[in-house]
Amino acid sequence: MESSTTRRVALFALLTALCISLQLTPRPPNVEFTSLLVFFAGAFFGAFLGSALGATVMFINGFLSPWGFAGLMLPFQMAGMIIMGIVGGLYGRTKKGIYTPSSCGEAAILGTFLTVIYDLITNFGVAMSFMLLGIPILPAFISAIVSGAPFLLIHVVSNFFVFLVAFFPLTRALQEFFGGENIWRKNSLRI
Amino acid sequence: MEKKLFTYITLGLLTWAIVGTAAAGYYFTQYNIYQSEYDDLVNQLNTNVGDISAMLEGLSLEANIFLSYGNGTKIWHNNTVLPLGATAFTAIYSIADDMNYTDYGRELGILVTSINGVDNNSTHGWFYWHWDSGSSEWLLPSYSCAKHILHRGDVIAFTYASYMEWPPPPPI
Repeated sequence: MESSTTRRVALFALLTALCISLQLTPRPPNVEFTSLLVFFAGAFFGAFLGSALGATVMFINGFLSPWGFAGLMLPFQMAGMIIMGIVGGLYGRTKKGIYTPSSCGEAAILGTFLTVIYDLITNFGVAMSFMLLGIPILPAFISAIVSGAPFLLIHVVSNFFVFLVAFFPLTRALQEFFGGENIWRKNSLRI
Repeated sequence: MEKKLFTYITLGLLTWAIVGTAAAGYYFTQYNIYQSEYDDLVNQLNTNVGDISAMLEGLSLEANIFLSYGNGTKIWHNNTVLPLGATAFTAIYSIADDMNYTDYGRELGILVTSINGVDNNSTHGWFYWHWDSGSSEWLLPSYSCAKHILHRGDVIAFTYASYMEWPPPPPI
């Protein structure tokens, strides 16, 4: 049990490091793996840790991103990823650790929907900066969504495929990782 | 199971609707931007057309050209637009459908030998005339039509007449 907990802590730390390094790596705009990893962390470690991971990654990203300082967008990006982690946790709770190939489609749809929610929230952050220039909230929000539509499209499509392709293999790999621990113990006992 | 499936389908359709709406909005604004830029460009061009016309007029001249085939057929080519520096030869060359000439070079210049199928022969040939507005009479220049530089409003004539009568009768 202790060994399992240690492994979980180590794995969570590894995920956090992986997530931050991927997020800070220069890449095409709005093609990212943070959403997947935060959702996955939520599903595997629970909503609290998943959302904590998302908030941490976006907080660090806000200062060290290759695209520059996030500024006013930072709290909205963190909020978007917190929701991603929470929904990941809820999804993990409904699945009860049993993931099947149909989980690919479910995760892809959920991931895509959460990406849209994330983009709407961050676009609201952009609208806030427009509001500071004196534009009313609704036109500012609509303007932010419309002007960012190509990026929204890239984000949604790329995340659909990322979730579709990667979520199920990741869960399988982790289940084998933790299951493998028991096998190793049995084998070691035989020796 | 059905409820779960329905939930995912709803979520997918909702996502599609939001993304589709945003994309349509983006397309609409881009359409308006480019339509507005196109309208501005057309207006700008329409404004400048007057300037362009004035500039083209500055680079061209208009002349009146009279053709008499010697058989009673007489045709006026009024307000024929020619480039600045055009000569009587380039004027007839620009209005004739078919034309032959001989270039003797240097001071002698060019002799028109045929206009629209009517050729010079041993008894008849093409003469060119220049209307002198000062004396109000037709003048028969003693040099090649290619040496006669036209001015705005000039009136010239090419007539097909006999060599037997000299000077040949004026065009009109």
